[in-house]
Amino acid sequence: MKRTNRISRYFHVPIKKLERSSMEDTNDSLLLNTINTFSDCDDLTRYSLKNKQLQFLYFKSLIDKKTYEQEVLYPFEALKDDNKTVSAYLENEQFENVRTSEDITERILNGYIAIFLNQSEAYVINAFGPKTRSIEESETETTIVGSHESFIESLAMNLSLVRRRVRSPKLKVVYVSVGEISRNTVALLYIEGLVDMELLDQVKQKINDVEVDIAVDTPVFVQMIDDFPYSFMPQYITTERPDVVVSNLANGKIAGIMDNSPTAFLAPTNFFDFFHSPDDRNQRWAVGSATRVLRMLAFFITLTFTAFYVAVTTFHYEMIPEALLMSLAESRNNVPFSPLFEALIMEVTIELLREAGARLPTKIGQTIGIVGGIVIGQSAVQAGLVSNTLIIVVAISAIASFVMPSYMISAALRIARFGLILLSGLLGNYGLLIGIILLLAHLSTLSNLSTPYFNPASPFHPKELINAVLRVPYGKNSRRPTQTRTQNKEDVKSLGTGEYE
Amino acid sequence: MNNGLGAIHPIQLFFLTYMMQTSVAIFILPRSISEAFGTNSWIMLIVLSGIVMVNIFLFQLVYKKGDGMSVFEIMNVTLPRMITFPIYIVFAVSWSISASLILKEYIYIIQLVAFPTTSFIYLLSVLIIVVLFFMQYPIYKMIRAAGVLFGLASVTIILTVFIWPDFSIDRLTPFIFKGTNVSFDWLTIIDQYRPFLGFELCLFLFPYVTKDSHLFRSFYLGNAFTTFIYVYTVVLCLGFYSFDQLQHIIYPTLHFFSFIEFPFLIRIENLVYSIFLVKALVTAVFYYWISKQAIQQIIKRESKFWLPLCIIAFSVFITYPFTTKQELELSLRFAGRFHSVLIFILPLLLLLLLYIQKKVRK
Repeated sequence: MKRTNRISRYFHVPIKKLERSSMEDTNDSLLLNTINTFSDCDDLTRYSLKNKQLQFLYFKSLIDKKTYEQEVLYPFEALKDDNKTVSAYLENEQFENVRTSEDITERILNGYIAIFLNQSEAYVINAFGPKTRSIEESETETTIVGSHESFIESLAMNLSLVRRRVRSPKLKVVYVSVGEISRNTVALLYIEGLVDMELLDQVKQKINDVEVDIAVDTPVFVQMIDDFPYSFMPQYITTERPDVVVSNLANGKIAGIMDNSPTAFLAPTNFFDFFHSPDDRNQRWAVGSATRVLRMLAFFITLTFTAFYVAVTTFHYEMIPEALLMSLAESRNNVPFSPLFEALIMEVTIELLREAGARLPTKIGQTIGIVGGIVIGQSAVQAGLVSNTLIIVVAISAIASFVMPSYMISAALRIARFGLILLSGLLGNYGLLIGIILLLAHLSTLSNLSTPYFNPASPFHPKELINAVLRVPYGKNSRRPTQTRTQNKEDVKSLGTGEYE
Repeated sequence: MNNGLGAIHPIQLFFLTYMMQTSVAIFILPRSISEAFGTNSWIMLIVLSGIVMVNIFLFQLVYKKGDGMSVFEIMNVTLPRMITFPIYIVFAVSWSISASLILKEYIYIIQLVAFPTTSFIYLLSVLIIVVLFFMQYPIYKMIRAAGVLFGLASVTIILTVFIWPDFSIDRLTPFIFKGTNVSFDWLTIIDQYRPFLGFELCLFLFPYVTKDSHLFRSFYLGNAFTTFIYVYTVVLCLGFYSFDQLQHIIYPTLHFFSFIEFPFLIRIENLVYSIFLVKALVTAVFYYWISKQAIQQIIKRESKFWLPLCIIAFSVFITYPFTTKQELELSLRFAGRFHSVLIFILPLLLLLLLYIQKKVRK
């Protein structure tokens, strides 16, 4: 069942006006029905007070112990064994009277404590407060200067990280629920007046159309709302950083944060967003711009350097200057394989090392560096399996791929690189260009929320493209991107938030 | 400006015009135009460009008089099927053959430069797969992709900067249209009109554009840009080779790139011919698209894969005998002549049909 609603005071409940079942449970069966629903749920706690006059049902793992003791346990223990007194206390505003076992079940699952009075009346109180890790620095999006906070697995905490940065009632939050069984809450954040409501509706519609039992995490979930599920390119930029979310909200974008996920997604996304890092904004414009240019260069190196090496050494030796040709020929002298096969061996080895490094614990991971660097690198050359030059080429390509601030785009480009290497090995520069053409054609025809993915390169918006590739000084790039379709393109002072990329 | 996915932007049409017009013909343009018109032949390019502008203006008249009706609609309304069907078949055959010849000419050049031992069919098949890949997209996506590929094609323009140090003004001459043995007649002019072809796509884009697309303005500007690039290339070649030398080099535009040297890379023409693939590809893809549109008028059925495949296979089959440079150039010349005349007559015919329609309605 899909539900959307405005922010409510129960922020961790999938927002909806809880639907009453057509026929209310008979009072006597309320407790019984609820317990039956949770049969075999051994983690459900049932606690009785005052000779079973009062019974509490809750999940210990979902509630805050302090709230439970201070708001429920101690006060009720202190009350007289008298129905009237207990009923009067339950009239306090923190308690809510519920009448169906479905409602009670829903609330218990969301960290409420259900209180049954004489098994016939039920009240609930919000005691949500499971243990979460504290706010730490992001491991995937580190910055040198600037904020080091990153999102955690608590939606409430993540929202507070954003709200602290945008102290404006214009920051709106809409809750949407995903997962037929898991019922995860996705909070859609936007700034009123900047966002295009049609785009917001599209996101909601896409989320509502998702048919999945359990939505595990944001990176999984965003793949379900892609415009092109068969594309190898990431179509939504994901981030763990509240400052990135805020700066994109100010551009008129929509941010989505899922409960129990430290990752937020931003929509609409374009290809160039993946090359931006908060560090660009924190540095002076010249340094930020140079870094962005370096990243674009890294993008081309990652994609084409090994492929170009294969094309040149297989088909176009005449393109190498004489001095360089001698040393290249010397290094390839003992290698029995074709440049294509040689490059594939090394590229696969690098990928193996990278994957092993990512999976192993940090302490053992260091060994991988030694194995990769010394054993494979040096020994492979000495054994005459690969050439020195190729190792340099592959290493530069690998390093360039790690320059990308987004791991998602870096991984996608590494996949594309293999395609280009194969084409170069088969058809030289002609094959390389065919690969690049296919890639560019694919990028230019992708879309995100029905907006062009390759914007601002296609459709061509020169000023925005400059802003995407360079980090121009503040005040000089005050227009919001056309991709967001914001009606408020220039009024950058309306919210007083820092940068507008 | 509409940011929607289906919208075609003026800048995309501008890029498309350039990509359509400049295909493999630019490799031989400086030589062929010098052979045809003699010294300072680039002046003739401006004249020819003026004729293109007039041609586009005729298209614009058709658009205005027909209230944006497509070429096929205008014909279908006025003419009986017995007449329209053969015309559509002529459209389909002529444009698909042109596309196939462009692809073959390109493959011929790369075989000559870099792949002397690789099979012609193998190289052509790969290119055909790419063409088919492009034809799977709807027209607005093809136009968008062509716009992005312009970025790749512009690398060759940037690379010409490295030729400048070898450009010498002493090699130029103040004499105009001297030193040629070719007679100055209509056929010569039509033959030199061929490098400008490609803009006729404009005529078939009527149903896909909106007012915001500024179709004709984009094509006028696109043609002006193409003319500028042509004039620049010819003048650069004249200042690089001299007039006499230019007439003895088969592919002067490709050849001068071989003089560029970087510390780590030489013989850049090996890269340049690859980049020219994008131009040949875009021209061929849209020519095939025109053929497909014409055939669809006859069979009245939408087919994303089989129809383009059949058209491509047919065109490759028809042009199969043309393999040598002379054969390819001759067949391209005849195809060019046919199209040059056709795209002048076609808008006039359409205007006549629209006039008849108006009279009949009255």
